[in-house]
Amino acid sequence: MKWKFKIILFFALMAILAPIISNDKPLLLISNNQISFPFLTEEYKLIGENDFYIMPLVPYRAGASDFNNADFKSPFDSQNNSLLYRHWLGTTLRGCDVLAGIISGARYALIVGFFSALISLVIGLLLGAGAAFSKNGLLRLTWLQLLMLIPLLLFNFNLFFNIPTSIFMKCFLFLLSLAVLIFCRGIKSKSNLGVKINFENAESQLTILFSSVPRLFFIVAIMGILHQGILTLIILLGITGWMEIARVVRSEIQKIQSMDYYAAAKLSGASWMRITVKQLLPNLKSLLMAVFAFSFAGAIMSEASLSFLGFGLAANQVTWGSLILEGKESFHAWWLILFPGLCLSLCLYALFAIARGWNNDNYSL
Amino acid sequence: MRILGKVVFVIASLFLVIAFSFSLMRYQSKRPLQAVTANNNFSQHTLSVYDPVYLSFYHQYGLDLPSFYFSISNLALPDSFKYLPATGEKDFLIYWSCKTGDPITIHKVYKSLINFHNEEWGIPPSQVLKLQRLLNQVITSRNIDTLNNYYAQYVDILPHESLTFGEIAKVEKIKTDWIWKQWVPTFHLHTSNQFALWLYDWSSDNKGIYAKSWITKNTVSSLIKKPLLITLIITLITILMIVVYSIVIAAELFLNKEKKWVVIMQSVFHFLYSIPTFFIGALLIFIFANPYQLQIFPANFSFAPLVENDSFNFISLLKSWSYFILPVITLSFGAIVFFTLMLYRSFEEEYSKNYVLSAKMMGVSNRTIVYKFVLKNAIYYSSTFLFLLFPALLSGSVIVEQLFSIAGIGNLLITSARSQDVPVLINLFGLIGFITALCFISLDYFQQKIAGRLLSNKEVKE
Repeated sequence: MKWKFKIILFFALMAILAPIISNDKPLLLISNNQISFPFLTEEYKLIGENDFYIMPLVPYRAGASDFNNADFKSPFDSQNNSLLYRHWLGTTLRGCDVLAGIISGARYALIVGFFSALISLVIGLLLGAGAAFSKNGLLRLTWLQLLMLIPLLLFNFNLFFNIPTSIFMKCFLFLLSLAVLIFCRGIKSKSNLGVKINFENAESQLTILFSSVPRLFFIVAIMGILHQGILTLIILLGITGWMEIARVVRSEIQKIQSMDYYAAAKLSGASWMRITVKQLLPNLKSLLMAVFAFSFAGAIMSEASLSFLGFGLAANQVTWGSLILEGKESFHAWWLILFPGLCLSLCLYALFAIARGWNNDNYSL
Repeated sequence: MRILGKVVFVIASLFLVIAFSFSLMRYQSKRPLQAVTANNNFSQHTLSVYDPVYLSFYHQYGLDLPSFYFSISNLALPDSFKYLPATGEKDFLIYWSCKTGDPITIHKVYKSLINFHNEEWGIPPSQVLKLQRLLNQVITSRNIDTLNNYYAQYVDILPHESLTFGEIAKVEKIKTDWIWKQWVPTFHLHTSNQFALWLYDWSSDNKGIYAKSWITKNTVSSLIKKPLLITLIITLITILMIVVYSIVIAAELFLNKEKKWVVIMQSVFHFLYSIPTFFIGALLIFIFANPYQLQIFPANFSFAPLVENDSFNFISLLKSWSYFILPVITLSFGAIVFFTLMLYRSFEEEYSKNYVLSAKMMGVSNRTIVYKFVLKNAIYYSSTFLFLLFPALLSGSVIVEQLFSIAGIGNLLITSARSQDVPVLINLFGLIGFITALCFISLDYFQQKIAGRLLSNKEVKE
C-alpha cells in the first residue's frame, strides 16, 4: 500500500476508533466482581479505590476541561498529573487536551468531508452524465413554436385556475392547444432557424452560476441565517462542491462516446444498460475516485476554515479549525496551531496526492 | 454576439441570485420586525404581535403585503381578489365574475365584502348573524335570479350609508353578454409586494425593512462602502503579487528543471498547496508579529493609518504599507503555488512546439525563449484562472481579514453573520455575485480580444 493511502487509513482509523482512543471514561471497569464497559454508556460511573480499570490511550474527552492544567500548558511544561494522565500535546486555555481535540477533529473532518463529497459526487454525476447524454438536444423548437409557447402557456394557466368550466372542457382545450403547438412545427419555414433546448447547455450555465458564488462567502452568509449544525454544514458543502465533478464527468463521458470501442459496442447491438456497466463505468472509475478525493479534500479544507471562523460545528464539537482558532488568541501557544495544522495539511496532502495519482490526464491541478 | 449572450445570462443569473437571497431573507428564522424594534424604544418582550404599535410598524414596512406575486388571469377577473381572506368568497367572486364577464360589478361586491369583514358598517349585533347567513346564500347560489333575490334581501338589512351594495342590486342588473372576456388571458407583474419594495429601495435611506442594518441602523450601502474599498485594495495588490511571483518562480523552475533541487521543490510545492490559508496566516502571525518571537511586521490592521484616521486617502495608504505585508502574503500564498504549478505545466506544453525549436536553431538563449516567447502563450492558457482568481480571493479574504482584523468585506460578513444582521448579509451576497459576474464578462472579453492578438503574434513568430 502506498504512503498516501496509509495516511488516510491512519486518519480514518483514528476517526472510527475515536471513542476508544480518547475518552474520560474507562474502557473496562471491574468493581464488586462486575465487569462493565463505561465508555459505551452515557452516564458516568464513579471509580472506587479497590476497582480495577483500564483507561484509554488518551484519558481525556475532547473539549472537557482539566483545571489543574489550565492556561495553556505546553507539551514540555511540567504538568500537575501523573505520567499516565499527561497532556502529551499540551492544553488549551480551559485545560482541554489538544491530542483528544485532534482525534475528535479527525472524526468530524472525515465525516463532514466524506458525506459532503458524496452529495457532490451524486449531484455532479447526475448532471454531468445527463448533459453528456443529451448532447444533441432533447427538445427542438422552431421560432414559431417558441413564439406561440408564451400565449398558450398563459391561456392554459388561465383555463385551469380561473375559468369555471367543466374538467372535460378544460382537458379538451388543453389538448387543442397542444395540437396547435405541434401543428406550428409542421409549417415549413424557409430558414432553418430554431432553438435547441439543450440540457448540456443548461447544465453548463448552472455550473457557471454556482461557481460564480464564492463558496466560503456563501456558506458563512447562509449559516448566519439558518441554524448551525453538522447536517446543515454537510448539505451546504455538498451543494456548493459539485461543479468541478459535473464538468469533468461530462467531458470524460463525451470522450468515451467518441471512442471506437463505444461505437463498436453500439453497433453490436448492446443495450443501454450493458454499455453503461461494461464500457462507461470501468473507464470512469479512476476518474470518479480522483474527483471524489479532490472534493473530499476541498470539503475538509472548507470545514476547517469555517470552524476557524466560528461558523462550523457547534461550540462543544472540537475540530482542527477550532483548535487553531483558540491558538490564534494567544501569542505563545504554538502547539495549538502547529499540531492541528500539520494534521490538516497532511490529510489534505495525502488526498491531493491520491487524486493526482488517479488523475492521469491532469484535469484540475 | 457571444458576449451579448453572456450578458443576458449574467442578468438572468443575477436575478436568480437576488430572488434566492430575498427568499432566504423572507423565510429566515428571525422575525424582521422584532429585530428592528428590539433596539428601539420597544423591548423585544413587551411587543406582542397583536400590539397596535407592532401592527403599525408591520404596515409601515410593508410586511402586510404579499412577498411576491404575479398573476395570470383574464379580462373578466380583477387582481384584487387575491386579498380576499376566505376561500369560499373568493371562489364565489371568481365564479360570478367569469360567468357574467363584468369585473366592475363584481369588484363592488368584493369591496363591500371586505368592508363587511372589517366591521366598519356598524350593524347591530342582532342583525349580523342574519346578514352572514344571507351572505352565505349569496355566495353559494349559482343562479342569477336567486342571486339577485338574495341581493335585495341583503341590501334591505344594510344601513343606508353603504350605498355601493344597494346600487349594485338596484341599478346594475347583472349582465350576461360579456362572457368572451374570460377567454382573454392577462399577465400582471405587481409592484406592491415585498420583493419589489426591497429591490427598489435597497440603497435608500428611510424606506424598507431590508435596506437598513438591523443592528447599527445604518443603511447597508453606507456600511459596505469603505470595507469594499479596503478589500479591493488588498485583493488587487495580491493579484499583482501572484502574477509577478508565480511567473518568476515558474520560469526559473522550468529553466533549471534538470537540476536536483527543482525536483525536490516540485514536491515541496505540492505539499505547500495543501496547506490551508488560515494555518499559514496563524503561523505567520506567530512568527513575525509575536512579542515573544520576532516582532517585525504589525499584525493588527485596525491600527493602520488608513483605518485609524478618517482621512481615507493615498498618503495614508502609503503610510500603512507595512500593515499590508502579512495579509497579502497569506492571501497570495496558495494562489502563487497553484498558479506556479499551472504555468509550469503550460511551459512544458509550449516548449515542445515548433517555434521554440526554430528559435533554438537561430541561437536564441534558453532564458530569452522562455521569458519572451513561451511565457506569452503560456499565460494565455492560464488566463482563465487569473480571472477566476478574483472571486476566490474575495472568498479567501474572509479568513485573512478575520486573522489580521482588517475592516473589510469579509469581516463585515462575519460580524453581520454572528449578529444575524440579515439585510447586510444578503446585500453583501448580492454584491459579491455582481462582482463575480463582472469577472466572467471581462474574462470573455479578454479571451476574444487580447488573447486573440496574442495568438496572432504567435502565428507571426512561427
